[in-house]
Amino acid sequence: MKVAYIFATQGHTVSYKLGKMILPQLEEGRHGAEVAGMFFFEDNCYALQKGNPLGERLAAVARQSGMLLMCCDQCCYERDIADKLIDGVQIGCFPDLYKALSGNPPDQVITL
Amino acid sequence: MRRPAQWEPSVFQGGLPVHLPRPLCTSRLIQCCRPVPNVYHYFERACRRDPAPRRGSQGVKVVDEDGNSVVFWVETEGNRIVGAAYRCTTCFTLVALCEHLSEILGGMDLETARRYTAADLLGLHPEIPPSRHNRAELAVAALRSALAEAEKNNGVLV
Repeated sequence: MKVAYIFATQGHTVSYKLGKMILPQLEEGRHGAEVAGMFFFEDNCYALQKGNPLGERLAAVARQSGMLLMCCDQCCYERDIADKLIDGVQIGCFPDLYKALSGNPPDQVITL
Repeated sequence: MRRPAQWEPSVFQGGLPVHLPRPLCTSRLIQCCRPVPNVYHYFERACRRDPAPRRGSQGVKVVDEDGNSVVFWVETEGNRIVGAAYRCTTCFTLVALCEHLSEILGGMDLETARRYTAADLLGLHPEIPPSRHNRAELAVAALRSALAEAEKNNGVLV
């Protein structure tokens, strides 16, 4: 099964659910589903800034697996980080997300 | 050229920057009291202001491969642009760039406007990543179409 994650809520969404659960599982190849892409909203975009340890680990997984990493463009501009993201991480809105995933569509989209 | 460090998000109210009085500025905020408007500012302004009247010469609708489109209107007096308006699809970057371009055009002479390029516009927004640079090309192409129409309507050589 292929899934896509949308990180839409704040709190421990990235630090715990992604950083302590999903990412280690992906690194160890035991997540249980292929991840086609991840989309980040609001403050969750900070995780994809250059130099962020969690983001760099995630980007390494993405480079290896071809997983899409995309941040909401409006969220990034508002936080002045649109040009400070890890190489390979895109910014975009829904049309960009759908277009990027159209070649590798997920079976399920999971919003966290 | 990089712009200086900008405002703290915490000094925003209703999406618009609120400058703290100088005595309240902390060391980091001293530089932020005159923030350089960025893409976020221009998008917010476009959403909040009343629509600009669409007067003058209308260019053709320019469409890119992603389905984004722009139309520009330019109003001229003699050899000078006195007003500009636009209609575009809702891409955040595109709206902001069209808003900024329409601001820049006010008072500009037609020859300068004709020579204005996407690179000039992008030079004002280093925060825009390369994947979004085509939005500036779209906006400038729409502007040039409106300028060409102004030439036809006014008999002004553009």
